[in-house]
Amino acid sequence: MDPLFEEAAAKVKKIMNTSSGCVMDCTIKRLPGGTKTLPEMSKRMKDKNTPAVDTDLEYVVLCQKGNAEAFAPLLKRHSGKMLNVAYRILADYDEACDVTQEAFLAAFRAIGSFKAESAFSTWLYRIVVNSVRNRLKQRQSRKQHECASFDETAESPGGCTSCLARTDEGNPQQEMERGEREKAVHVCIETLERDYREVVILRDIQGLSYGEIQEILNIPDGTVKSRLSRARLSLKDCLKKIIGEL
Amino acid sequence: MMECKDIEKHLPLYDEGLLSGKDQKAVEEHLAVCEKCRRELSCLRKTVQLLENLPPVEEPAWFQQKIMAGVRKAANKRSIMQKWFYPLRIKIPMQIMATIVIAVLTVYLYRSGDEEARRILSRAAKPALEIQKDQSSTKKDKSADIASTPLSRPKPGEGSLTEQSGQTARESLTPKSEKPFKFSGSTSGKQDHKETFRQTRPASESKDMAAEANQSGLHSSSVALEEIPQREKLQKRPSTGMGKSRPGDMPAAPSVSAALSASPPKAIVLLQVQDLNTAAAHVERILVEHNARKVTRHTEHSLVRLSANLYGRDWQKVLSELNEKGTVKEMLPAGTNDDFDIAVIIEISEK
Repeated sequence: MDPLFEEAAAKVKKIMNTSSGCVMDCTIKRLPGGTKTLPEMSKRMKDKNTPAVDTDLEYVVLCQKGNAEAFAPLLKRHSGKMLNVAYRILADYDEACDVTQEAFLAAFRAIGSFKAESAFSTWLYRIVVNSVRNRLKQRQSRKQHECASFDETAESPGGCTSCLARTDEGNPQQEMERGEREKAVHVCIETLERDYREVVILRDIQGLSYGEIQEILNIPDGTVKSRLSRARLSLKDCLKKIIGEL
Repeated sequence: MMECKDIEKHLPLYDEGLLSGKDQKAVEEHLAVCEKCRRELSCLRKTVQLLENLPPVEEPAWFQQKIMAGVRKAANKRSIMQKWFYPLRIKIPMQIMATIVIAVLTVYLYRSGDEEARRILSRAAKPALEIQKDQSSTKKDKSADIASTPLSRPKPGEGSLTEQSGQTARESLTPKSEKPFKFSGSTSGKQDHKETFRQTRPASESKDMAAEANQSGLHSSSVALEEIPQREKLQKRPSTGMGKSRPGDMPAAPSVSAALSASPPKAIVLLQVQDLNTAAAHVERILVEHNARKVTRHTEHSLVRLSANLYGRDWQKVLSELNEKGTVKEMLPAGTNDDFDIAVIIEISEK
């Protein structure tokens, strides 16, 4: 491993330990001799959450042999991530729960066809993304049939403020500010087209590597990067409009 | 030197070092001098940080349990399927068994269907028989002829010719076999065809017998030979009533000729007596006394038909005894060969 990277990672760890685990509050430092920055490194740290050796495999093999109970640890490991992706793309909590359930059941039924060519989580993400796409298509066709004069409420219909995890208890003003920012991000993500939304969610929210995103979305590396670039610029502009100067 | 607009496009990927070396350097140089672009980069970084810091959504409490319940259900369904159809030691014998069962069922159904069709067809012929009977009885009233109806009347439980063994059909050559042919005109075309086909065998048999009889100089042979073209003619015109086919004959002749055309008996005798029942019993006894075989008796309301097989020498004796009982009309005289087996039909009616 790159010694510079190790050094940086150690610094990030230290900062995270001393500043209530929030990387955002840290000063971003350019490390000598490279273009790597702390946000990138924090991302790499995130990528490292996906282990080099897929520990899911042993459970997958058991499932393939017909042991349904072996699916429980897999579910425990991945359900949160999958639900999060579904929720962020669909922007509707109930629908996200529904779609994730469907996706997990579909994954279990198709587990025999899993060949371990990619990580199990990548394979699961692919199933979830496809299920979400199908749901979006259904929603679109349903919308076309619905009355156009249907009054949309100011609040996003599927927003779930109560179900969002709270990591710490700050003062009420900070909480409110953070809540507003989150809501703004949520709204801005919704404004993105589906293709851009998928990439930015998988990369910046889920912290997946470019390789994984390529596999999940089945698109070339260049496309991932260009979509991500455009998505970030759009989000930046959107957030600037809603929040003001970031 | 790139414009701010161009630099801005590269900024989202700059921090990750994903730009080409040239672009990366150009952005770096530009950022060093352009405050606006630095601000933009800062905004982008904050945007990314906001995304990264979005709290993960929490699962509902029931979420994993519900999915696992669905998984277990799916697994049960699959395990049943696997249990029954996956191991080859079960799968192959099951497939073989299934194939055999299907084959046996197919053959069974095919055969039972055939029998069913036969039964239906034989039932379907009944109404036609009734019509014919009515017509015959009307004629009988007018002409006081006794032979036509009983010949055409089906015997209860009597099967069609095809249900009889070849041997029985050959031996008896009775009017039983006339039934399918006689009413072919009043049944459906399909049945007609079938029955015409059925008649082919007795016809060829009658030919053989006629030829045989001809060799021994029997009178009946000529009758049999004459009847063959007649029968063929009738088959060509099945809708024509039998009575009309030979208008010059006695009223009994149509059914007799039909009987002949179907499977000609060697001797047909009409006997008119005073007391029908007593005479019938006497005639039956006479037949039995003279070694008659296969004596059958059909009783109608005004006539009795007896059919039997006996030798020529016995037949002559029977005839002479019948003459004592009443008026005898020999519709079809039998040959004189004493050793020849004759199928006789005696129809008894009251004077």
